[in-house]
Amino acid sequence: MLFLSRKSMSIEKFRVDFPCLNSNKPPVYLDNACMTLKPTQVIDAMNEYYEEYPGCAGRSHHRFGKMATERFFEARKTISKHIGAKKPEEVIFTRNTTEGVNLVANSFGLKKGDVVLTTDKEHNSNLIPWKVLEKSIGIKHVIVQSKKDMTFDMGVFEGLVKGTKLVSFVHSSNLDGYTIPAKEVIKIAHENGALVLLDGAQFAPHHKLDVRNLDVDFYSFSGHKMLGPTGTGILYGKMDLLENLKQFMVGGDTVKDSTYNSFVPEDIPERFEAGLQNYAGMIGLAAAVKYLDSVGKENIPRRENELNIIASKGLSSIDRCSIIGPPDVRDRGGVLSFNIQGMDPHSLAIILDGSEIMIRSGMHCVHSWFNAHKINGCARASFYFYNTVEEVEMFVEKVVEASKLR
Amino acid sequence: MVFCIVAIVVFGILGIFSAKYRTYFKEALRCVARQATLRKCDTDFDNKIKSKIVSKLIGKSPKMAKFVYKRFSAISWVFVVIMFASIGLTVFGVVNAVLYGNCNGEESTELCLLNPGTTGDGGFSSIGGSITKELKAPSADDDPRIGGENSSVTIIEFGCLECKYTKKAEETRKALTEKYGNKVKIIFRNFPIPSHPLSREAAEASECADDQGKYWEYHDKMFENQKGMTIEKMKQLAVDVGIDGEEFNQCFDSGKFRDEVEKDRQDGLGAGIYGTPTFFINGMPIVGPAKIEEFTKIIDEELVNTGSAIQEVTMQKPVVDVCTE
Repeated sequence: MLFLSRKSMSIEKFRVDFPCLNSNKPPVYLDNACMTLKPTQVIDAMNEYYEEYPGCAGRSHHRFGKMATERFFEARKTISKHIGAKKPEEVIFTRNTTEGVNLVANSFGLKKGDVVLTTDKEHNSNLIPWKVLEKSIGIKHVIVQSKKDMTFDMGVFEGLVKGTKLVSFVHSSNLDGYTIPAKEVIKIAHENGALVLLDGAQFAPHHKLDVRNLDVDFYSFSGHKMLGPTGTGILYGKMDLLENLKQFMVGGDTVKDSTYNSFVPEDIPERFEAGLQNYAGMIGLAAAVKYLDSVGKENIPRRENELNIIASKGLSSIDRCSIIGPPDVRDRGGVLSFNIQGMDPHSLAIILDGSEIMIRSGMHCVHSWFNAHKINGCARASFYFYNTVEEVEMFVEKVVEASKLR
Repeated sequence: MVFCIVAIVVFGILGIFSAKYRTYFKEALRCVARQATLRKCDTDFDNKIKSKIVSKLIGKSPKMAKFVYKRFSAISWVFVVIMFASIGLTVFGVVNAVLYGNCNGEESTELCLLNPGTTGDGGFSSIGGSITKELKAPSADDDPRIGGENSSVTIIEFGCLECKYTKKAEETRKALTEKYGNKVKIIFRNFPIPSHPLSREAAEASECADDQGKYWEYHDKMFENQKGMTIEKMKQLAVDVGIDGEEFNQCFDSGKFRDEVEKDRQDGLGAGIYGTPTFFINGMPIVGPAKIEEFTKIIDEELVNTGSAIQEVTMQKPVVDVCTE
């Protein structure tokens, strides 16, 4: 459905759906690993809720309430289908990936001495919850170091996974775009009696996700990185595992009944969705995944990687420019993290912004990796299916121009 | 650090008008505060601003952008020096303006931006207000005059005996009297400037001198002794030019010419005067101690039109150079 060409006609068909890109001189938006743009379909779906049926779902018997209940359930169903879940109830609505990871971390029932494995390239979302538990209850947080070429070291993992309670890995890294061999990791983890939680914030928006095929136990991702509204996220969990999770955040909507002395927990997934749910947000997220289905998710990774190949090749002409991540660009997905020696990455981002080219600079919430490698951050361009070859060429041209300031 | 010092002042002022600049101001302040206490600046403020400036320049002049990027610290130093020099000069000017009515100092006749409308080579003492108001030729009244009574050219000067610019214009007045003799009539009308403490008293004293027929002698003496003038000095100067001291003192102490001086001033205000000296040559205004050529040009033209009467003339942009309040 998508193809890479200079004319990019098939992309233009989609670009018209994004209000941000519909001006005479649209910005070159290359900060998609942080936040994607929103198509009209998502905005309209949210507005429709607010304008036409702004009621509470699952409790009110009036027309608004009934419509909200129906659309909210449909949203859960759409998203569960999109990720290949067995049933909608396995989809827990959260605010973002971080909340999903925290929910597992605090509900899993970890005890002192239990081992949790992470990689060395974790976003703070999948690092800090474990560091907190390490301090509070004494779990053992063990890090699987990457190989020198920044790819996943299966040998090291196999050596560490024995006796591990939970493997919590980033599926695709927001640092360098590298995707771990998740299916193999999960298989080995299960063989060793460990369960697996994946941080899919950077994988789910770009790849076709099939949680059952992966056989992953928990999977957390965000809506705002996949065309959806901010403040939306998903935690997938196998039903039998969800049933054994303790409640984390509790209160409104998490119980069926309560007395002064006791309470009856709500069914799954509502028991994990404390307080009034984000109806408009989740209806918007459902519209986003429908949109992604219409784009054809199976084509997105190839397109993004081809854009990355053009960009990486362009930057290779810059003297003292280094790219963070595996040496083979095909392993870096749609993420291009780089440094130009003698130029502060924040300066570069601000200078590019002057030409309406938007990239990210800093440590990208992977402070631990940068601090360990004594690197003071980097510049990062991250692509999505709606980016064009022309945009990438303009990005390269402006980075080259800025590099001459040194 | 260096740039942040400039930024505190610049964004502090801009922040009064826009919240956007208040954020910059806070960042710059934090940066300076941290570095002043030997801690690392954690806002990266100077780098951000440098990058913003370079991002604007790079599309227009890559060479200039590169120069700014590489020499930003040195450029910041230049701005710091300029800023402190500007602050120093501004304070100096304001103090002078308050104390002496001219921002360049007591003795200066140089251009002062704090005095509205100074565009010539001299200054003027302002009474404040708009300088674009129209100047209309006033009446000659019965004030002291010199030159030919029936001359076809009449110059009416509104001046202040305490104003250094009026004093400066005396050279021109005398030169004109010498050059044209009875062909020109020069009338001096009082326009005391309130910022000069004894200007009204000096005007009244000169009227008392006129009462005894010694106006111009006293007028010249007053300008000669303008600096450090006191009431006692005014009275002594009267005696020095041969005026009856007792009669002069009685005239002065009784305020005999207070109304006359006020009438002069009101006529001046009615004519739209905003500073001294202001001249009207057959109604054509010249503000400030202008070059003599400006006067002679007008006078010569008027003399060609022999017998022309004083006409009311309106000018939107008069020649400017005066002493104001």
